[in-house]
Amino acid sequence: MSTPAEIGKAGRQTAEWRKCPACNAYVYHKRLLRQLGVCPECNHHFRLPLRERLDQLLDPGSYEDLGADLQPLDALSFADAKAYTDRIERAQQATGSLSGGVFGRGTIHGNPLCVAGINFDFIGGSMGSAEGEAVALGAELALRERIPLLVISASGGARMQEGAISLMQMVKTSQAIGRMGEEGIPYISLLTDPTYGGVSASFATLGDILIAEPHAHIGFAGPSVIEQTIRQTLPDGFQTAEFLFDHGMLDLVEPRENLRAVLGRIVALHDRGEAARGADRTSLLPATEGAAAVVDADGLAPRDPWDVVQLARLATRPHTLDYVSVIFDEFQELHGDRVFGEDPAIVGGLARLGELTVMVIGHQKGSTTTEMMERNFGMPQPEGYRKALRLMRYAVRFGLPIVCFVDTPGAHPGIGAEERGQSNAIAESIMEMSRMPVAMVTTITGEGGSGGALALAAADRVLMLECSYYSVISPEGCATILFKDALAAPRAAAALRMTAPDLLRLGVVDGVVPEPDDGAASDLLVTAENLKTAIVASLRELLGLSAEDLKAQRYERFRAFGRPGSQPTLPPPEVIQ
Amino acid sequence: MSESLKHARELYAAGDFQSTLVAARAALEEDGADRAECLREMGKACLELGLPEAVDHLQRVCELQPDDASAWRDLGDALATEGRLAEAVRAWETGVTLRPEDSGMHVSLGHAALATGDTDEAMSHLKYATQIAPRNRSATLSLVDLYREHERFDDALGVARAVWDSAPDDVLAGMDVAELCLAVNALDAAQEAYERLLKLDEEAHDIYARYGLIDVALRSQDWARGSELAAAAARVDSSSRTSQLLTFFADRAFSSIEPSQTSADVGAALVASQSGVFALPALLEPQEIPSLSDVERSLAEARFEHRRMHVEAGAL
Repeated sequence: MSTPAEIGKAGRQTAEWRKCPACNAYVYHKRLLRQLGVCPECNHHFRLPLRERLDQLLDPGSYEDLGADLQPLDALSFADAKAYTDRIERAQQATGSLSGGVFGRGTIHGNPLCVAGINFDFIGGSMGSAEGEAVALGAELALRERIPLLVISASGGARMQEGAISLMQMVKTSQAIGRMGEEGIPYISLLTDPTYGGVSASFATLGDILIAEPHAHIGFAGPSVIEQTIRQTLPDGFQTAEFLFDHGMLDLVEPRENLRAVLGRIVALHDRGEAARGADRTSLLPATEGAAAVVDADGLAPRDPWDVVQLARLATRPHTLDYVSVIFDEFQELHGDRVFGEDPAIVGGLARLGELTVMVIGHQKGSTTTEMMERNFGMPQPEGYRKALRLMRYAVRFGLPIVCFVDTPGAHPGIGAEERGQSNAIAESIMEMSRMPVAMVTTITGEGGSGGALALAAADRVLMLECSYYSVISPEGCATILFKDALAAPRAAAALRMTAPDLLRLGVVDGVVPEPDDGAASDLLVTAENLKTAIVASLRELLGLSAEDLKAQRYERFRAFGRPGSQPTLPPPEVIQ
Repeated sequence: MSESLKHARELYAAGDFQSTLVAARAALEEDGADRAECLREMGKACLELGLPEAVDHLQRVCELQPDDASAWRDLGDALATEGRLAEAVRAWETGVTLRPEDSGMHVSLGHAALATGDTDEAMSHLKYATQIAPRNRSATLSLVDLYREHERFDDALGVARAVWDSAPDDVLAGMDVAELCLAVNALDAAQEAYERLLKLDEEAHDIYARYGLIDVALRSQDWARGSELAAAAARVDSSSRTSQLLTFFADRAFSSIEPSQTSADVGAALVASQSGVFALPALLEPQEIPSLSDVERSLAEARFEHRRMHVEAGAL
């Protein structure tokens, strides 16, 4: 630092420039701060001191520091080349904090939340007793006040100098997070560069929602240790946020400039959910103007089943995200199955319907060739169903109704899908969905292809759009196997009784959502408004029911299929020439 | 000076920029207010608060007081904050014309020239800045970078040494000195610098200083010393890099005894040598001997990683 005399003589020296470690560009310091610590040349996200990050994320002046007196504990009287107490003292001098643990309270977009985190500048962000204490205290405060918890992690892992006491912080923090889950208090984990070891293997990856910044390095073992062990060169991008996202481990990889908005939306959606607990939630539903669902099959105009199949498969037909954009007032997509992968054939996330927060899940086909390929033509892999189930469990944890949209030719048939347990993924989804203690409404919006569709359709109310179909097998498949002629698909379509009127008569669906004469593709807004009306009406019937009543009625709904005496039967179909 | 303006300045000095802005705005509305000084305080406060209005306020100060170098400097800073670099350069150029001894503006002009790829201009400003303010870290470190990029290693080393002498705890300056000593093949000096860094940068980065010492041994072709250093490094960091280095040096050290093809042979040789260097169990599995270029690349990557960590840590 220069003395004031030097500054007076030689000019002010505050004009600082920073060299970007990624692209080597020099960036004016204040510009870098304006850019939230993101290089304007290459988008590299500089590591942020925790306090700087809190300033960026929380409402100005809202942060109340509650952890300033947390101090590391030298339970082992540890010393290596130097005593642990000396290392602590040095870190305290360097950072101006007593420990690397931070916790407090603040608001984001006016909604309260607890915040905890680990400061990487304090002994490499390692987790000792004080850092574990900060996370546990944050979780306990969130639980007491029933407000969301945001934890910001940057850590090399457990702190060796605290030995087993450091290791125990993994349990201490995880159990505190576990209690929050049991009580339906949301926990959002923001993983920043780097997050490793005992931190990534405990509270940091236990979030109801996991968010990471682009290119952040996240993993259990360090890459050099892995390389040394397996004697292989690791692939490019290994252990980056993008790598984890592709492998289903993260909900979101968000650039820093989006973080406040995304966190604010998630916290607000949960705040609505919390406010709705125990209240009359039907009052939160929006008014709708669409045509009511048809519940009498005779009220539906006759359509040729094969024509319906063609309409249901139209590339221009609206898909889940199209309906979501019209029906819901807000939507925050979430990703990943937390096991293997992110399957874009199934989309899901938190959404606001009027003033009610719900979980939306649906198949997504895509409209362009590229998108259809990216989304595998709406044919999910096991990880897609596991993502859907994860999101359903999420909804149960917070008492949120579930709204599903079905539009798939079927689950993906492939070697990898079999290796990863496609059957089991579908089966578990069906079973768990059928026993969930929250209201669930599913609509078949296009193709309802067999078990791959049913995995999202074991709901309290099952609706279908007028020009959709729902079947145990595709008409082509049935034609080949049973009619011994692939060209007999139109006959098979009729024989399978896969369209709305027949399924309504059979009791498979509870209502049919009207479409324009030329199908949903001809008018998204009209179709979506009709669909919204049907969903809202269904939820209005269901939201007043207790969890036990929901489960009992759902059990009876599916128990009745094929039961002699209660299963309606249909006369032979008209012969299609 | 009005009491309001005085109060605004006190608030600025205390770092309360929001209140500075309010107070300076109030002072501006008073009868007989010193408009330029009020606007200056408002502009400086906006600059600290990251508000784009800083540019407007400071532009008006420059219009009112066109001979005020500080006003041009502040305007340049505000424009650079907004990413309007070309305009910022014009403001700083006006400023240094009025006050050539302002090292801060020369540093900014130097970096602005770097951003536009004009390295001659950059070097000229940065050199001048270091002459008039030898302790300007931003200028000196950038000048070292610039000299190094142009392979003027002796010039770079001279500046880097001066920086490290004046700030002995500055790890980045130490890294500059050590690496530049390697670049000019001053191996004894490089060893001395890395040994200093080993003590200075002890927390989690000491392995990098060890890699530096290994690099010195490599360039000296001192295989035995390299083996000992690599074995010591392997004891504190069991990564693939240390394993690779140990394999390489051990192979070189013992190849005169019996040419080997795999690290298993090397490991066996190490054990047999009873030199005090123990063989890691992993080394006893067959492993390719890395080439010299592999090792050089690995050490260069280590230097890059180490530098990046320190650059990143102090950046914000």
